[in-house]
Amino acid sequence: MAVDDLEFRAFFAGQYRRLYALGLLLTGDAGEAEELAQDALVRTYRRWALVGRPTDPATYARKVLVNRHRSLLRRAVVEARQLVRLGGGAEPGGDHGEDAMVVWAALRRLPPRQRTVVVLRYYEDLSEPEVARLLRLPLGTVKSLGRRGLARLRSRLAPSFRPTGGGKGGT
Amino acid sequence: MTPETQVKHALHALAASRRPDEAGAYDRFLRRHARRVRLEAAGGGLLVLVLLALVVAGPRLPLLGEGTTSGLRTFQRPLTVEVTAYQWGWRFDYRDAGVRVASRPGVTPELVVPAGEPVRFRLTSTDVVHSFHLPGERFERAAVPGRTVDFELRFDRVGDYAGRCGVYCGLQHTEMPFTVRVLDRDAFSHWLQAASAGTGP
Repeated sequence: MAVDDLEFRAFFAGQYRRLYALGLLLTGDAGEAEELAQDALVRTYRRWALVGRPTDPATYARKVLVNRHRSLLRRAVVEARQLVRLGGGAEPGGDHGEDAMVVWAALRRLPPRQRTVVVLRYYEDLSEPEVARLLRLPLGTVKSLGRRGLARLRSRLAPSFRPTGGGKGGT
Repeated sequence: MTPETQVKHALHALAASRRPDEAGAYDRFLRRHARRVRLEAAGGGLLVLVLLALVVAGPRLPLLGEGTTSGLRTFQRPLTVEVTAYQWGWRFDYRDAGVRVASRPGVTPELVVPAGEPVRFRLTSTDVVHSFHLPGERFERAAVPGRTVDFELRFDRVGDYAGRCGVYCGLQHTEMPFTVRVLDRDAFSHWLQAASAGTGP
């Protein structure tokens, strides 16, 4: 196999948590986040083994994860599950506090495309052209989705959310 | 704090609030990878089998090649015969096989077709209006100069069917009889091969 296993293992260790977090923000579900992260890493590994090391494996894995998430969204069953979840489903378990609960609720109420753009813009720190390329959407659409997503998110966060350790919070 | 920064902080705080189970993550990855490799191998094997089947059976499929087997024969492109009426006789052209049968003095021309299969006819006339008439089958179509009439017939019974021109077309109108000779598939193939090679009737 063309992959240096030690190198990939180091890559895995460095990326797993990040990809999981991205999956978590996109889906709102720990199980699906694990699925997406694992799937993205397996596909990246296959690409690595069969074609060669991607120029930027981290970017490649992120792209695989986002695309996989989008194709899953297209499937009606997954879409239906998402809708049920948006309607007030399970909370992500774990040691999150009240603020995190508020953000979860606000994020999950965003439509999937707005949520994806917001997460890529403000969690992954991608520029609008980078998001447009990654999602294969027109730049104007990405700007519009990002603007609306940000406004909706903030309107829901504003009354109660005060980010830890910074600023005054709210507007 | 700008709105962007506020949301950024919120998302990072949210992501940090939930840690993945990293302990067995790499083992789960390896199992998942092994499963994928097995699936890819199975998919590749299936693809090879399908390709092999196509290579082996492809030429026998009616839509892909000329060769036929009896089981697939009904999917063949129908035999097409161009029928031309003229004063006073008939011409039957099997264009695909390069075979032509025409009236000759004192000989009734035979329109040979296979039994049990649709046969497509393209009927026309070179001079006046005639008609392709099979009185025993109660079938008739006009042959009009400058026009081509398409129709399909299927003869289920092996044997001879009498044909003639059904409309008065001149002094020797009655000299336009023809016979539809219906052969079984194999006999028809032999006839067509022989006629094509110039050794037939």
